[in-house]
Amino acid sequence: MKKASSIRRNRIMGNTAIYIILIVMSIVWLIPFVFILLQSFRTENTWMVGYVIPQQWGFDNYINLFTQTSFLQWYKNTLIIACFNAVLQTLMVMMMSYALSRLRFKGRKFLMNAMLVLGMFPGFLTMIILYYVLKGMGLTQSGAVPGLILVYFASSGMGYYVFKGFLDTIPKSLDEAARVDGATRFQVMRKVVLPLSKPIVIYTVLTAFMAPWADYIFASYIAFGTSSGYNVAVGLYSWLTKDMINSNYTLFCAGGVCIAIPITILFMCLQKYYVEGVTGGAVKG
Amino acid sequence: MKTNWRRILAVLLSAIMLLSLVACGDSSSDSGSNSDSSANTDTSDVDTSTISITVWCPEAAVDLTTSQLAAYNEANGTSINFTVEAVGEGEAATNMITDVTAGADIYFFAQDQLARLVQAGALTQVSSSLADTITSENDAGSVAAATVSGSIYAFPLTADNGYFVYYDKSVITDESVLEDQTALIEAVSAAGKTIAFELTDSGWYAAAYFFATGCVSDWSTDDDGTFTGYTDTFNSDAGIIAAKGMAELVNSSVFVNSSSAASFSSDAAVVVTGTWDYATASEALGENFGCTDLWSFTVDGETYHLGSYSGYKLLGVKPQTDATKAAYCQSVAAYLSSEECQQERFETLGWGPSNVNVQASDAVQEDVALAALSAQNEYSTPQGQYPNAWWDTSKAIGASIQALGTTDPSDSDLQAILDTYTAGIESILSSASTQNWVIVGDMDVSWSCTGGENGEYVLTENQVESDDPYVGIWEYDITVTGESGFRVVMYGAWDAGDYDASGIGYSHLAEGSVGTEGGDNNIVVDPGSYHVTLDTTGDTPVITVTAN
Repeated sequence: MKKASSIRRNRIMGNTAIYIILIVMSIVWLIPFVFILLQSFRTENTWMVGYVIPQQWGFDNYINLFTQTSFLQWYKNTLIIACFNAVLQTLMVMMMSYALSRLRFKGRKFLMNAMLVLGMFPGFLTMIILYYVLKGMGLTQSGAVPGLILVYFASSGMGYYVFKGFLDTIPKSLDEAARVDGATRFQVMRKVVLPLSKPIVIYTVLTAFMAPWADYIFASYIAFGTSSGYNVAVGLYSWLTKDMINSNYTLFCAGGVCIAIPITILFMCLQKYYVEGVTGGAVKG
Repeated sequence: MKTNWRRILAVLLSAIMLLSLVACGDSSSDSGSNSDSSANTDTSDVDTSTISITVWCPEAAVDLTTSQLAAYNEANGTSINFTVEAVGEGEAATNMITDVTAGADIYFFAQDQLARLVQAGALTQVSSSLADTITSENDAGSVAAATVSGSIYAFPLTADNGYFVYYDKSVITDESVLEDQTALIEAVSAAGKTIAFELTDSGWYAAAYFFATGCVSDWSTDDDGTFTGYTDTFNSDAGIIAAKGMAELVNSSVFVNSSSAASFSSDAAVVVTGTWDYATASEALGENFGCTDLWSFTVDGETYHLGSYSGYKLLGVKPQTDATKAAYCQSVAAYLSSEECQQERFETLGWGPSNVNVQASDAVQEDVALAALSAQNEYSTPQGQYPNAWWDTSKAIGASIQALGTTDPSDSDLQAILDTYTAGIESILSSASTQNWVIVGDMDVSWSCTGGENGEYVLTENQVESDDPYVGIWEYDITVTGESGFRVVMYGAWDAGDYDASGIGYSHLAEGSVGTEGGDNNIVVDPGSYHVTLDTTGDTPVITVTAN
């Protein structure tokens, strides 16, 4: 009896310690989000204050955000880019991974190695060149939205690693069986491989959708001082000047919350696939 | 064969695409400045509806600028298509420098960017007739702020880019404490409040103490806006006094490093900031709102009133290829900086005018913030042109003084901080991508030492004495095969990549100071093998060349 109770006591103590650590960590992690959320509902003034809980609550910041500023335009821009990116990038990555995983052709290994080496260079090394190329095509400033879609989409093929890893885990014998039954390559992909790779497709869609919301460097370069071409990150950043921040700080927080909404909704709906997708590619079958 | 054709087609198509891109690049390239001729172009019989002018202004001013531009069209019977974009003053300058062709035709910027913009070819000189108008209508400081090497490059808009004191009257009940730093710290400390002054990460604010004791930091540029030299007395006895004054505040319990009027919502009783925070400060303080000039500090019985920068907002016009458009750009910019528009900007946005007539108007005279600013202006220094690196170097002073952790630091500690500052600014002019002595020559030279490239050899690596990259003795054996000779130069940021035997940009050396033969530092020797020694340990670098 004595032994059993000491085990139980140890377990309780261990759990308590772990829970305390976890609670502290989650508080630390959540503070910025709670802070932004609370600040976005604060209406007594529009600048940064030394306290967290608002003295006056209201939706004024959200109303002003969509009626008084260009935020709606920036939001639309980003949403358009994100939606196109989610579809196009997923298609691109999917085709790329399928080809590299299932087909054997001359130069396949070389192609993969070349892309690995190219992937070592940070993307913004090419920024200036890309800027001038896009400018020549009229896809900067007010044409920044299609320009950004093009840039994100065109460079997405190199991010095939996780997807290909996942496809490698699907037995080739399935493909072969389907081929024997008379299916074309495309039918194999559409009817056999694709249904089995739902988690990784969803993971790709999610990451592709999220990326444009946080892109600042590239987006600011390409929009180049044309407010109608800003995405949300560039637009909100333009408020952080010494003469604007005090009148726009709470609006800035409200903007931050609005950005989180579509991503959060999408995440919640697709969450169960997400973990499968992230880890799925790592298991070699 | 079929595949071959496909390949050839693919190559051809990509070549065509590349060529078309090159063509695009060429067609949009810009010409240099062409102001004087274009401004005099007769613009009376031109269909102005084909002209599009883009204007970048801060977001707060977008509505007003749009209506002012509409008024311009109406008053002049023109129908120019104006596009007004919200681009902050700092961002505008950065964007213009990044890509002048894609930038706005007319843009608002802060005067500290002027040299960079001139250097980048992003500003047209103001035509001489308009320059006379600018000089007569605006205050002298703002005209000086728009001038580079004697030519006016921009239209003054405001004269309010300086800082002064906002204070909370409920805490500072006795206004005489605002005159003296020690009394002010005491009063604020007694009330449990703070003083917000951005001294520890901004050279712009920290300079207030140095200007108080008479220190200067003036930088000169050449016609292209390139920095060529400076007069700096921050590291002096007066500088030590200034640093002591700063130590008293930054190491006191009431100091907060901030320049935002939002600090009043925390626990600040005094905030040092500018007119852009007027609305925030007056809303935060309500009836307790007060503002005045900066205070004085006392070191060793002497009292020094804090200085400040007085700065200006300017309006720039980009060089244009189309003479008609260029003329209209100048005319529009002149209108936007006119008395009428400055008056409107003061009324709507509270921007302090640079126009002398508007400055003299009753409304401006009665404005409390502008009154405080003009009281401070007696002690202010017009903000000249500084290299960007200067701000980084100067902002470290405040942080270093704070790191000493005492309100009464020793002279030697402060001296060390100012020595670091001096070393910092010395390296600004010479902080080249390459800080080396080089031998250059437009000739066929084969070097007897390894690692050299044809026509150029970096000497620093074989330095025999001293760790300083600029001071030492270097020795080389070279074999000269050409006839035109060689030079020894040290190249800096602006002339890296721009060196050859005919026109070397060796701004560190007076001409002819290194080589003697042939003058102009061009050492002409007969082909053959030589031993070259460069000695920079003395006042003048000396080169000795002996035949092997």
